[in-house]
Amino acid sequence: MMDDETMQKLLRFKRQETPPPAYFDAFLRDFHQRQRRELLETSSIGILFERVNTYLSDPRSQAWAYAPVMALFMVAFYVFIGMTADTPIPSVPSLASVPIEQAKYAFNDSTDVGYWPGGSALLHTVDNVPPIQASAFPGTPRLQLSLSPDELFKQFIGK
Amino acid sequence: MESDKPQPSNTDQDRELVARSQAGDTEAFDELVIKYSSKLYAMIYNMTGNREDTHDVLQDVFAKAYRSIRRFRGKSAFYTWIYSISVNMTLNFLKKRGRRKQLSLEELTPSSALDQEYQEATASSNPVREADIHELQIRLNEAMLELSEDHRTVVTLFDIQGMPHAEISIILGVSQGTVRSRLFYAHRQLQNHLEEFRH
Repeated sequence: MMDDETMQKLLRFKRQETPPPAYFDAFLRDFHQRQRRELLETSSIGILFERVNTYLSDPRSQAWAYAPVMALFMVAFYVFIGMTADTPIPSVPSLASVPIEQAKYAFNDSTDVGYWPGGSALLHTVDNVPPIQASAFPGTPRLQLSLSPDELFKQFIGK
Repeated sequence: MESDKPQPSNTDQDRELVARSQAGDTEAFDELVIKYSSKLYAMIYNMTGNREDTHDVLQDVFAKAYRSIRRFRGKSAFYTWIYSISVNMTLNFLKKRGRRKQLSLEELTPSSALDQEYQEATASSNPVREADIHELQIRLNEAMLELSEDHRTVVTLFDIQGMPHAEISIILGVSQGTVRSRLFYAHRQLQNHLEEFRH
């Protein structure tokens, strides 16, 4: 078998497989032409994309890249919240949206009074008061059934 | 072989050229192109085996290097960095090209008295020996193209370009042991191929 040294000598001959020096002058000219051509052909979006890509591929810039992404996410989040804030929530029952007159009848039912301790006292107290609409309390938070009757009474009458 | 390896002064010179290129001096980058195009050409050519492909890949390599020069932080030598780009781009190109054989590694075109051994070998007055060497070179080219891309890469960098194992391992991102093992296997394959020719 051919020894390693002879093999390496043969391989070293392959260093001679180079083009003439004139080739490399032409190569540099080609390179300049290519750069100019690329500048003309690449769209501004392409250049922007490439720069962003180059920036993000730098390990040092990756940590900082989170900041603008996070800021963008926060802005998008607040815009979304702002768009949906005025939308009514139909599924949440509220006493404020129901005239007291109707509420009175609803809670006058003996079965319901037992379900809501203290309910009858409230209804009897407001019996002689004209019906109150939610619009009479601008800015009042919507009343939830989870409030105790005394709290409810204070919010309606105490105003 | 040692003369082909970049010397410390060359590295300092590279550092200066890189710094100027990063500052926007295009002539400094041209100097890097002139300095490395010949060596990179030889490497890419021995991997692709085709002159047109070599030209295109080398243009792509310098275009990419130019676009990325600002990201080069100097943790490694410039020549290690540019060689890494070249090897990766050549391997990608070969994957895209597929296993299509490019048996066009041309005959030797010695450009100058770079290799003393080559001069001595071809200056031999024995025409039979000269013919043998020529035939052996053709066989060697064929054998090179029979190697897998990974094996051809290490042979190109170590035997043809004269790089030490440590640098090859950095460029390829593998251990020195892997480099040695690939070289050993590649040499065995080449020897087997040439042995058939000798008998």
